[in-house]
Amino acid sequence: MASKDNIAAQLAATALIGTERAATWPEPGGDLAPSNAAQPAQTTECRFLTSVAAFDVYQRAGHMPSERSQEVPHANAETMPRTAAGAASLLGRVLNGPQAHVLPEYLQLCARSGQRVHERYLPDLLDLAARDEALAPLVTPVLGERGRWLATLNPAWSKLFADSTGGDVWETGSRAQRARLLQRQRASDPNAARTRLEAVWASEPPEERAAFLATLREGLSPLDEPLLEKALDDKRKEVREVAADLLARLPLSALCRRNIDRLKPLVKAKRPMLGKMTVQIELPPDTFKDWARDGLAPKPLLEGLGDRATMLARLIGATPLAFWHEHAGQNAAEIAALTAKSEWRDAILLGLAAASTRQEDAATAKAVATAWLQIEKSPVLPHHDAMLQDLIAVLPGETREALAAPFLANRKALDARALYLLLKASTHAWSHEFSRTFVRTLLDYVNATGGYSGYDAQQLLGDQVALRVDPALAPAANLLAQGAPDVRSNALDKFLATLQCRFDLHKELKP
Amino acid sequence: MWTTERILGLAPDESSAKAGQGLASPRKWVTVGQTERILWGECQGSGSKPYQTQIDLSEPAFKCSCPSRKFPCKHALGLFLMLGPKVGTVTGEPPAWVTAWLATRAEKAAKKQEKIEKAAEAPVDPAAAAKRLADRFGKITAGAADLQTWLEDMVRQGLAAAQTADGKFWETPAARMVDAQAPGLARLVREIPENNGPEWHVGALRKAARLHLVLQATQRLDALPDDLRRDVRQAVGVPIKEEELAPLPAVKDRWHVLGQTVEEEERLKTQRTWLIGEATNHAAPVLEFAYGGQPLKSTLVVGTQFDGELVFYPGSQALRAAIRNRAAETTESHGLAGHATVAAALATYADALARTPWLETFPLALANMRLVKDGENLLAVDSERRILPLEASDARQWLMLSLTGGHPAGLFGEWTGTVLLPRSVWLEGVVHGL
Repeated sequence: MASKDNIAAQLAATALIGTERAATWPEPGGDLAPSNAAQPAQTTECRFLTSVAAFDVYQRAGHMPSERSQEVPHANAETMPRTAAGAASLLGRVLNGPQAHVLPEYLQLCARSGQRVHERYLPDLLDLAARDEALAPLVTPVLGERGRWLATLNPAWSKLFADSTGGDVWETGSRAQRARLLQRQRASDPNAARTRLEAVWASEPPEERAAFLATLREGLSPLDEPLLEKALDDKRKEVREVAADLLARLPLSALCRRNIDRLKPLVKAKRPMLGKMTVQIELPPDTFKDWARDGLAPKPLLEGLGDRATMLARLIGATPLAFWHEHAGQNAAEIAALTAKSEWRDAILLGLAAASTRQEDAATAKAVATAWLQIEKSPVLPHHDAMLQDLIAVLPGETREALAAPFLANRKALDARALYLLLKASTHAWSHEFSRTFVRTLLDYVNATGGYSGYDAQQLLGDQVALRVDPALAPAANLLAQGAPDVRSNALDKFLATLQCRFDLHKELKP
Repeated sequence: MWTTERILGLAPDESSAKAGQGLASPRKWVTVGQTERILWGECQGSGSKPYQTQIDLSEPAFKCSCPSRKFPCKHALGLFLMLGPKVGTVTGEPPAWVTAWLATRAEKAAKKQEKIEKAAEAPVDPAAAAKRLADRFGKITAGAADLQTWLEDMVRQGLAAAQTADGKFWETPAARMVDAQAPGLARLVREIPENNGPEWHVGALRKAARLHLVLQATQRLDALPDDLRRDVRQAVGVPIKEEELAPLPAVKDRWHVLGQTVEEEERLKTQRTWLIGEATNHAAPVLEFAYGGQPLKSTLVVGTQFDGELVFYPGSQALRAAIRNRAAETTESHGLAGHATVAAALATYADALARTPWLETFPLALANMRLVKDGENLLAVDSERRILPLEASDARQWLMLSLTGGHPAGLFGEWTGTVLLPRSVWLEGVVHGL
């Protein structure tokens, strides 16, 4: 008898072209032969189909399982406990429901409590981590042995655990991959990373040079100055801009010294016979000579300012803050407070804002933000919300809360632009007190306005704020919100749902 | 035992699941309460009076005063999601509207039991029943003969021609079978072209041959033994009425819910829920149908178990079951013993095939299977290193690997003769539905 596979192939071939054209096929014999006694007059097709059926049943009934010679690999025993049922169930809700934005917090709390996530969710989390670089470092600590084992089986996931110094990536990776590699190396060994960059500097295309140079911001030090100074003469503008920005962050750099010399003639400290010392700041002349090499150009203009005012703002922004104490007799924070009287108030504030952001000087940043927020009318500042937010990002949480408190005290003013910007940039976990004030003001506001709100408040209520309010306030917020009208697009509902979800999260994932 | 996945698994559709998640927030509820067995709450809807929502966890059963026809409705799902995973967070005495519902339920259950007992005692007129069946089969036999001719024409002209034929080629004979009151045959026709890939004709031929077997049996019905005749009846799709099941003996056991699938065809949703008896090892699906937008009402949840009595549809083996009665309490299943080896499991399949050669899929429960990835596919390997190939989506394969980690686990699925369609795995005393 022909082999099984052979019979199957012949039957299939016959079926494909039709019994009309192929009238013979292997008919089963022996026990499988159909008992024709019952049906004497069968057509060819009927006989053929009976043969196929008999052979198919024979094959299925006699299926012999093959044997596996290799070992079956398995995951190592776990060293961390798995989250309890309540926490596991919550992760299911977070991954499948409308509260996906609390996932990072879930992962952080899970890691802090020394637990690993339930195995059921490992494939979903690995998929998310492989797609989202920001999420990956939060996912990896809670995967457990099972998750790491699983990742080795799937090429899309195993890259999560790839060696971070990988020479391969540096040679063959994409621009973004190589930039990430440099960035990681800067964090652990800044000099080695710079040396690596210097070795290829001359041969890299301009987009690469700009992207790689920007990674020096991590772990920036005077040792980076020679490379940055050289980059000021680069052919490509993007590269020059990155270099000037980074050099302005190094107070002892030659660029900073040049800027000090440029600013000196524009600043005049006067001591009147009576009263306090005043400082007068003038606009630079309109011939800027060699300023452009240091990244100081009037174009594009800062919105709302002319070219000389733009230059003043840029110059102040790239000058060490210590300048003010040394050359004007007053520190930068005091200068910020004094600007209200200056003709060039907005340009000076924008400049000081840029300088304190670059130099991460919280004291000056606070003074600049205070002055900025007190200004009710300005033709210039409303165009520069992004800069205000960068500035607020420099401030410690308690300073941000102190700045926002007076606005929150005015319960009708939740729509105030300043408050919106402050709260939006306040990305820290809000203190219990501040959170409580916010929730009260919010519900007073909602009740007072009958649910109507401006665009800002509605946006604010989206996931942004709900992720920062102290989740312990969820029960109180729910109580206060009983019967309250909702804000446009169910913003209040979403806010409360997120808060409640975080409340559950903190309860289930207590360390 | 009420995890998010299990609760959401009860949702009649995607939009209910989403709406339910939105309602799983204390703000939406005027009152909530729970005992070990019941959850209840009043949900503020758009009307002036809040909806009264209640859940009896034992089954689970749901009731809500909202006008929705979905079952369970979004309010019940919301309440369940909010309280279910953490039973014991709120307490309270059930109000009157809850106790009234429980009383009605108990009364209904008692009445149903009474009806079953009466039906079992009622005399059946075998002659009249046989005549009704014969009348119906007359029509089917004529239809089956036509279908046999069509099938033979197809084989004569070759499958290459059939592969390129349009949808009408399959739909016309299928519709004729529906008219002949043989929906089972219609389904077998529609399934012939349902496979893809370069080997289309191999799969199609197999299915054509299976249909051929059923048609041959239909035409020789009188010559077949009783049990096989009943198998034919199920295969062609003659419905079995409840009265016909009533006099049949029931099988008492602890039934584990180990798999659930929902198929939709021609707007008809068919849910198959696999039940396996702990002591008897009997395994069969209970079927539920919902037409159009109607929701499925079954509340059987994979990974649970209940004590009760099942009736198996008449035939040479248990191909389908109906629940005659069940104890009020549903508990967490910890899995079953299952076959120790692939060889032992496949032997039961060969046995079943010998009795019903057109058998489509066959339930297999196996113990101590280790899962391993083999290229695109997933394999289950027993302690003797024998392999059972699985067929599952990528996502499901990774889920199974993740849950088991390559360690031995219980496995339940439907065997097609060549691959196992996995429905659940269990280890560490927990059953995970797939």
